[in-house]
Amino acid sequence: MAEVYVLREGDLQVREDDTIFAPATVTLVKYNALDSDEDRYLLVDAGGLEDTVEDLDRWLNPYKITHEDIYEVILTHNHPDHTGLVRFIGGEDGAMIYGPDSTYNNRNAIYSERKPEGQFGVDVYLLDTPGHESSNDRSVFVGTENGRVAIVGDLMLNEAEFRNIKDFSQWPPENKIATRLSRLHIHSELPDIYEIVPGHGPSFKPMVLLNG
Amino acid sequence: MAQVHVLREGSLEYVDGSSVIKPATVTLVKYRDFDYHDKYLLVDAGGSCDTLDDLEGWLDPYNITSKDIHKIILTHNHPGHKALIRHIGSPEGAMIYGPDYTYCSCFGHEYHAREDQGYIVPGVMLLDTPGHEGSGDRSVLVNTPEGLVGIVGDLMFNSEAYKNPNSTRKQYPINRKDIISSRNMVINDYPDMVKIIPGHGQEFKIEDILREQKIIS
Repeated sequence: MAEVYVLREGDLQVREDDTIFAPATVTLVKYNALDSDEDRYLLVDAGGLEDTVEDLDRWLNPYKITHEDIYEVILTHNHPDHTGLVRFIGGEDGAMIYGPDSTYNNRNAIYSERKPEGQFGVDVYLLDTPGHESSNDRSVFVGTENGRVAIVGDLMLNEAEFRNIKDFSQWPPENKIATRLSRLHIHSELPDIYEIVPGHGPSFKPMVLLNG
Repeated sequence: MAQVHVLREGSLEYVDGSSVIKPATVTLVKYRDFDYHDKYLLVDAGGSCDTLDDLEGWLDPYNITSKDIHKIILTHNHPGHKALIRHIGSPEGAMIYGPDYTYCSCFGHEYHAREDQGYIVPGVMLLDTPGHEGSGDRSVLVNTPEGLVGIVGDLMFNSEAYKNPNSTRKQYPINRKDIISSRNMVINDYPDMVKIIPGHGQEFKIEDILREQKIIS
């Protein structure tokens, strides 16, 4: 089974001057690769411009790893608050970045096709959830000891957008219809989802919310 | 009048059936601001393999450094076009005009509304040209002494997209209809444009293309 750790919980505050304060969630996944038994670490999303490598290493310290031990990064979408640390991650050989549009190593300018939806690693699954930024947005489902964890990026900024799939008041998406359908898709996976990790808020247990 | 300098010409090279080497164009614009001081902005900001040292090397012939860049305009959010943004600007950072938001490279996680199309500084205009990555994609039109220059990002990878604006073969835009419409808008609505700087190819003069196509002699 894989393991999921929220390194930095996202937040969202709209200030009086309409400025949005929005650090995004950064999540660590420990998993087995499909082609070997070794433990690997990947990040889902990679912080914003304000975040530094020192911040990342501090978040990783409790797990006794550094940014050089991160093998892969899955980006839920390309917004700047989710991609700020991409270039720094990985050792000398860099890390493979699975972006919404293309796959690439962060040490060169060679881009390959987008990894399609489906199995990524043992107990790690990519799911297309278009709508927030573009039709290529994705979420990551991880099978853990407790059950499936859905890391959804900005498909749901926080639990309010889980409770009401038509809530676009906080940060209007690129495509409301696609976003709503993607949120419905997540709902359709219940009750198999143990926990949802949203893009800008604390993670929550959907069945606990729904059952009051 | 502003001045445009291509710091790093983009390119596109297929290495096998599905991989492509595509460093993106990075362009410097020198403009005179409302306070009559010369200032500098970048259009697009390099990819993961580009370093701050690379950028300083590109800027050196113009006797400026990355700290002298006031603004960065991102044509879209693809990784090959924005990797250096966090390194650019004075200690107060640079303002980044992204396709979705406006933000400073130094302010903690604060995002403002996307800058609307129109003049951003004297002689430099933002133009919405959706289709390649998303509906927020933009191009930058600059009034220069030689005429209007269009810095179009991946709206056009190279001159082939100007010659065949309705073809999207091997380009995989997010919205084919939008990108074709945007290209035709740039071609038809700006007849005074003299040069285009594309996202992954050499800059080209419109006159040369028209001559090649025997539209003019």
